[in-house]
Amino acid sequence: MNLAEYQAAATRVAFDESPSEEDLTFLGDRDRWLVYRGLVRSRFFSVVKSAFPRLAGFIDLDPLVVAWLAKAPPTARLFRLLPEQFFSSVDWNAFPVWQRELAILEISGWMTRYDNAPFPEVTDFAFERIPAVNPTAMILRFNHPVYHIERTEFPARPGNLCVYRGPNQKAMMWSLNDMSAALFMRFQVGDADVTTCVKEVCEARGAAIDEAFLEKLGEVIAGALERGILLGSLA
Amino acid sequence: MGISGIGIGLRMEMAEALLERKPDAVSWVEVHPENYLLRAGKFADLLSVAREDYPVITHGLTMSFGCVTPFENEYLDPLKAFLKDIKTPWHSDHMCFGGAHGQMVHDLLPIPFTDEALDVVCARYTQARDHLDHELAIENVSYYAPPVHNDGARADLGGLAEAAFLTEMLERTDGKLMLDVNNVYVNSQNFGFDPRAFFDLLPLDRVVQMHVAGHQVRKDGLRIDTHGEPICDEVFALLEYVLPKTGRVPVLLERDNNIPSIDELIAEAEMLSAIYTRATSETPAKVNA
Repeated sequence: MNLAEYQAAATRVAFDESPSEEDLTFLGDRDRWLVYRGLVRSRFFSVVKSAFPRLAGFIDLDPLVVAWLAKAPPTARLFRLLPEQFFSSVDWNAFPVWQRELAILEISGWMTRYDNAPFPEVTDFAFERIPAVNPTAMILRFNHPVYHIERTEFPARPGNLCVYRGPNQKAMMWSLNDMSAALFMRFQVGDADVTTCVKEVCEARGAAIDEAFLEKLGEVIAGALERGILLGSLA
Repeated sequence: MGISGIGIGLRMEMAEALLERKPDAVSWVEVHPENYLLRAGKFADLLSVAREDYPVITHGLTMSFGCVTPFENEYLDPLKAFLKDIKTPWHSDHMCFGGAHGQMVHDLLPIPFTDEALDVVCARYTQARDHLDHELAIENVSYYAPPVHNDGARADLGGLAEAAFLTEMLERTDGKLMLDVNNVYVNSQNFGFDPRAFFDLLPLDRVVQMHVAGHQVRKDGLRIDTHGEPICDEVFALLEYVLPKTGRVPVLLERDNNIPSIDELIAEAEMLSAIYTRATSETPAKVNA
């Protein structure tokens, strides 16, 4: 028995949509290798359901996992990276837009929970300094409000969402209007102070920097600081 | 003095409770580097807290000493840095393979006990130990398909072929063994051999650490190593049999699934601790590598 052939056959038995009798015969004990197949595959079904719990309530994910394992078998060494590989294997254009967006929301939350981008050294927040944004934060735009987790229907209504890692390793969400989303995306570039960022974004969007705007800006920044989306200013 | 006594696998489901209680029966903790590499947040925070109170030993999941696919430096380099940072006395991983052609099954599949496989395991073990520049230990796994062997002497041993294979591998590489007592018991029940005879064939002076865990018995009688049930009486008895022969090596309570309350875990650790004390009362602690 050649070891490379043995390992390739066992891997095919694990991932093929239907294991071949030739491989099972080659490996020796058909029933026991089918036990292995069940053990291996159950982990993949399980981790995908863990990563996409709400989507799993709307569509049967198992056939998508079966196709993933058969057509683009997992290569990630770290188990937590498997949902991203699953996500990449699916043609989400074949699904309604809101389901695609729900998948994006859930994989973003999954990723932010373990993101290891280093947190910057920070000092107190100041308008004349470069803002320090939580490196786990992602600003996402949706056509359907799939982030309303209590709902089961999502008629079209565009909106923005900041997904970030909060305490206890949980993915947190914060709704943002278009101006706030544009501001935070500009902040994330990390090359200009707050005042410059605000001026640039307002100019691009044709918005006046008046008293009402500044009051609203203060509320948004306070909210972001309170949530840990803004960490302060870069030291 | 080296690490000895009972350890417990640090799992997120129970880590906070364990670190708050700090039970007397638990002397050290074990972590899977794959759960911490390239990861921030709560995992990193809890590991920092654990390190303040306990020695940490690392145990990997994906080194696959029997795999024919070459290692990637993208895996070994961060692992090397992690082991150095944690100051683990050794790192252990499994005598198995975990896929082919870069595809990862995320399970511990059995290698055949052939001469070719022995060459692969020895070469891979040595390569990893050299690259990591760290002591390594290899763990025997549970297997559910009958082992394949083409070597006459090993074939004659039947279910004990794995012990002969491991012995040859450890002697050829001057290696260390992470002896999983539950895996020996599971295999002995699935394939009908005497687990004590298995232990007696091994070079037990090479054991640096042991694992004990619970397993599942399916309706058809097949035993599956789930780490999701309490340790059975037979495994407790086997631990008591082998501990005086290995010396006071650290013993890990492995519980990865179906994790019970911290009280139940501590009770199980206390049972292990009592066995440990009884079985090693006349043996000195090993000096860790």
